[in-house]
Amino acid sequence: MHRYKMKPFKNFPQTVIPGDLICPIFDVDDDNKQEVVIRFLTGTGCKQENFRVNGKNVDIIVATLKGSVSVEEVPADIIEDDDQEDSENTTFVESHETTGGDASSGNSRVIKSFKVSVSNPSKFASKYVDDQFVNNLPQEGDIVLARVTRISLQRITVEILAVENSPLPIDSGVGSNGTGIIAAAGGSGASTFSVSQVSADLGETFRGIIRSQDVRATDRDRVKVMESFKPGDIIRAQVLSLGDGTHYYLTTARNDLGVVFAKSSNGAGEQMYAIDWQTMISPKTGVAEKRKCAKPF
Amino acid sequence: MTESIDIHPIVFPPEVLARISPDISLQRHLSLETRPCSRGFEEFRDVAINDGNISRYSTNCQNATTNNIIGSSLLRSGKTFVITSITGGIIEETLPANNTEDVGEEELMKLSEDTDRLCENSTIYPVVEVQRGRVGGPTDEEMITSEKLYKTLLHSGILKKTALAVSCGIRRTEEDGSVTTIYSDELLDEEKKINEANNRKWSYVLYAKIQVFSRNGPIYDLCWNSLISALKTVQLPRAFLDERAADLKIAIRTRGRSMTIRETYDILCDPHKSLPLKLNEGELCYGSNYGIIDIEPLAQLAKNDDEMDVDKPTSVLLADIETEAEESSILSTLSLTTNKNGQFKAATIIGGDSKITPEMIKRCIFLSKQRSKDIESKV
Amino acid sequence: MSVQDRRRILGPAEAKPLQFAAITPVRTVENRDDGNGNKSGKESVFISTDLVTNANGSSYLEYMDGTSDQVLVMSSVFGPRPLRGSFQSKASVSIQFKEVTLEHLNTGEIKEICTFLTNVFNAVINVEKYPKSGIDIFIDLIQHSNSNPTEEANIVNILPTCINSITMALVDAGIEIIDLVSAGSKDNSVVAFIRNGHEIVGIWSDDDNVTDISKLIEECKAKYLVNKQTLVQYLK
Repeated sequence: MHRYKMKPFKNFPQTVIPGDLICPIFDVDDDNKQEVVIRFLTGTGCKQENFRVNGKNVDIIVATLKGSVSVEEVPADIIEDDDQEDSENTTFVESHETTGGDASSGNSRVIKSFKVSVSNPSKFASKYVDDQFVNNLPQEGDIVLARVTRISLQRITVEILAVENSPLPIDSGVGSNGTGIIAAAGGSGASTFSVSQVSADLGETFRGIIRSQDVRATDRDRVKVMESFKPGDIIRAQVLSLGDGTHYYLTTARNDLGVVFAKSSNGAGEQMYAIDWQTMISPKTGVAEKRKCAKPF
Repeated sequence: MTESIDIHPIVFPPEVLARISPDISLQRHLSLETRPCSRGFEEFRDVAINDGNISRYSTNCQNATTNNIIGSSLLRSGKTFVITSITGGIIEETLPANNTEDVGEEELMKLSEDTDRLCENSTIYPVVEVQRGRVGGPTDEEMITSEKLYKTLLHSGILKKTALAVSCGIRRTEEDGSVTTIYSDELLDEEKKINEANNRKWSYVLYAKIQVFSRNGPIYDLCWNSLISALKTVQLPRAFLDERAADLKIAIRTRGRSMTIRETYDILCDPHKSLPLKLNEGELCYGSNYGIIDIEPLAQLAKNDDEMDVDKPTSVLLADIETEAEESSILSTLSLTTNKNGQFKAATIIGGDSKITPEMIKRCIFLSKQRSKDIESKV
Repeated sequence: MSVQDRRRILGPAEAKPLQFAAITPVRTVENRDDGNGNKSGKESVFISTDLVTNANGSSYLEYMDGTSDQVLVMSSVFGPRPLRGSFQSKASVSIQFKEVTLEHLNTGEIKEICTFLTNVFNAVINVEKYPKSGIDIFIDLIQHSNSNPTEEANIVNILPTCINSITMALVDAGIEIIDLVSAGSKDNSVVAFIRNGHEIVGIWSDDDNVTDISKLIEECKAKYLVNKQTLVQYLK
C-alpha cells in the first residue's frame, strides 16, 4: 500500500477487522494536473456493500476478514484481456466485469483500477500453499495437489489435499501461474490440520475427477488410465471447472502437471522418482512403473 | 529429459509435504533428530490437571443448586484437552438367590468362579466423545476407547464395590414440621433397628462423560488419566429415604386375590452432606504411549560425507505420539498403564511393520514409570 | 432394553439418576440475597481464540455477571468443507449446540437455539465466497450457572455469549463476514445487531409481555454496543 502515494490512499486503514469500512468504490485523485478516477475492485477478504450516507446510497468496500489491507494496481490491459490461458493474473479476471469503453474513450480523465484485498499476515504470508481452504477454495485455473482414490477406464477420482496458490497477489508469479512451487523457505508452521480434517473415510475432503481425455495434452484419445495413475498417487492438477455438486473437474494436460509422489506396486512398495515424463523408478529396487509424471523442475 | 535417479523431483513447503506424504515428512524430521511436533524422541507433552471447577463440590462452584456433577477433571496435554464429568445414579442391588438345589445353578457358579473376584470390583460407565466437527453416532475410536476404559477400570481393582454401597439414611419430619435426616453411621444403637428392618440394599452407579478437544494423537491414555483424576475428586452425596416412605406396603386386590406390593420409592440425595469416594489408592496408575518406527535410509536428508560411517540406529522409540504424521506412519505402538513402581494395570503392544525389541520394551517400561510418577505429582 | 444404544456403554437400565432433595429454605434465601446484592456487580468477559487446534477457528468466552452468573462457551468452526449432492453456489451454514458438562436443555430447546443462530449467521457470513461448501459451527456450552434457574431465562442468558463466541471463532477461522455480530439481552428477549445497531439480524423473545418493541430494541442495542466494543478491543 505504501507504494501508492496518491491522495485516496492516505485515509486507508492499515489493519481492519470484519465490518470496517475501507473505501468507496470510486475515488478521484487530482494531485497531478490530470484528473484520475480510481476504481476499487474487491479482492479477497472484502465485499462491496451498500450504505446510506446522508440520504444517498453509497457503495463501500468493507472488510470481511481480520488482517492488513493491501492494494494492487490492476493494469487496464489485464482487465480487457480475455485470453485467460496463460495470463499471469488469471485469478484477477473473475473478480471484475469489463470497465467498458470509459477507460479508453480518450478524454482527459484516466481511470485506474485497484484491487483491494485483506489478508491475515500471521496465517497466510510467505506461505506458498494454503492447506486450509478457507478463502481459498479451489477455483477455475487453480493448481491443486490431490491424492488418487479411484481409477476406472474413463476417469480418475481424486481427493483434493491442498490448493497451490497464494491468496496474496504479491506472490502471483510463483503460485497461480504454475511455474512451480519451489519455495526457498515455505510456510510459517502455523498449519492446523488434523486427522479428522484429512481422512477420506469421513468425507472431509473435496473431490475431483480427471477424465481420461484430460490426462495429457497429446494423443488424448489413446490415454490408458492404468498407465497414467494408480490409487494412492499424489498428483498436481489444474481445476477446469467447479464441476457438479460433488466433484471438481481437473486436468493434468500440461508438462508440469501429473504425478509427483508415487509408491511402487500400488502403494505397497517404495517411493519412486520420475526419470522421464512417463516412467517412475524406485532407486532401491529398480522397479519401474508407468505414470504420467509432472515435470520435476 | 535424462535426469539421474537420485534427484528429488519437486520441493514442497513442510506443511504441504506433511499433508500429501506424512511418512516422508516424518522420516525427514527423524533424520534431523527431531519430531514433527518438535519434541525430542523420548519427550512427553506437558500435562496440567485440575478439577475445572465443574463439579458441585468444586471449591468455587457457582451453581451447586442445579449441578448434578459429583466429580470432574480438566486435563491438558499439549494443545489437547480432556474434560471429564462424573455423574451418578442409584441402583437397587438384586441379592443373589441362594438356590443351591438347582444343579444348573451350581455348574454356573463353578464356571464363574474366575469372574467372582471381579465381582468385588466395580467400574464406571464411560462415554467418550471426541470433538471433530461431526455430528451423528460415535466413531470406532470413541467406542473402543470407552470399552477399554470400562474394562481396564473393572480389572484394575481401583474401584471396589464396597466403596459404592449406599449407607442410606432416613429423613424424619417432626410434628412441628422441621425436617431432620439421620444416617445409620450417625445413629444411636437403638435407632439402628429401623435400618436393619429395611433389608434392601442400594449402591451408587457412576457415569463418566469424557470429552476430548483438539485431538491430535491417540486418546486412550489421556482419557484414562483424566478419568482417574476425576474419580479422585468424586464426592458421593449422602442418600436418604423419607421416613414416611421407608416401609410402605400397599395391600391390593386383583381378580379376587389379595397381595401386597412394596412401593418402589425413590432415594433422595442430601444436597449438603457428602462423602469422598474411597479409591484403592495403591492401585492407582497412569497411562502413556509409545511408537516405534524404522528409519528409512532413502528418505533421509543428505548428510556430510564424514558422517556417513557413523552407525545409526535402524529404528527409534518415540514417546507420546502426537501429530498426524506420527499417528498415520507409526504402526508399532505400545500403550502402558502403570504406577511409579511398575505395577502394571494394562499394556497393549501392537507389532506393526517395525520390530519391537525387548530393549525397547524395557525402555518403555522405564519411561512409563517416570511418566506415571510425573502425572501422579500433578493430580 | 430392546432398543438399547449398542454403541455406548450406558450402564444398568434400572439405575436412577441421583436426585438431590430440594435445598432447605435457609440456603435458598441466602442465595437470593447473594443474587440481588450483586445485580450491580461488574460484568466481565474473558476472550481467547485458537484453543481448538483441529478446527479452522475457535474461540472461548467466559462471561461473568457479578459473582453469581457465569457462562462459559467455546465455539469451533469447521470448514468450508465439501457438500455432497447437487451443486450449491453458496455455502450452507450449520450450527450445532451442545452442553459439555451439565445437560439441562431438552432437544427441542437446543434445536430452537440452533435455528435461531443459523438464521443470524446466514445473514452475515459471505456465503457467496464458498461454493459447494458447508461451514459447520459447533458451540460447546462448558458451563452455565445462574442464580435464577427458570428455563427461559437460561437460554436468554447464554444466547448473547454464544453469538459473541461464534463471531470470534469466525474471525479466527478467517471466514468472511460482513460485520461483527453481537447481541444484547433484556428481560426475556435477545436482539442481535450488526453495523453499530443500524441493522437487526435476529430477535429472540420468550416474553409475552413486550409492549414497546422499539424500547426493547433500544435497551438491547445499548448492551450490544458494549459487547461489540469488547470484541473490537480484543481484535484490535
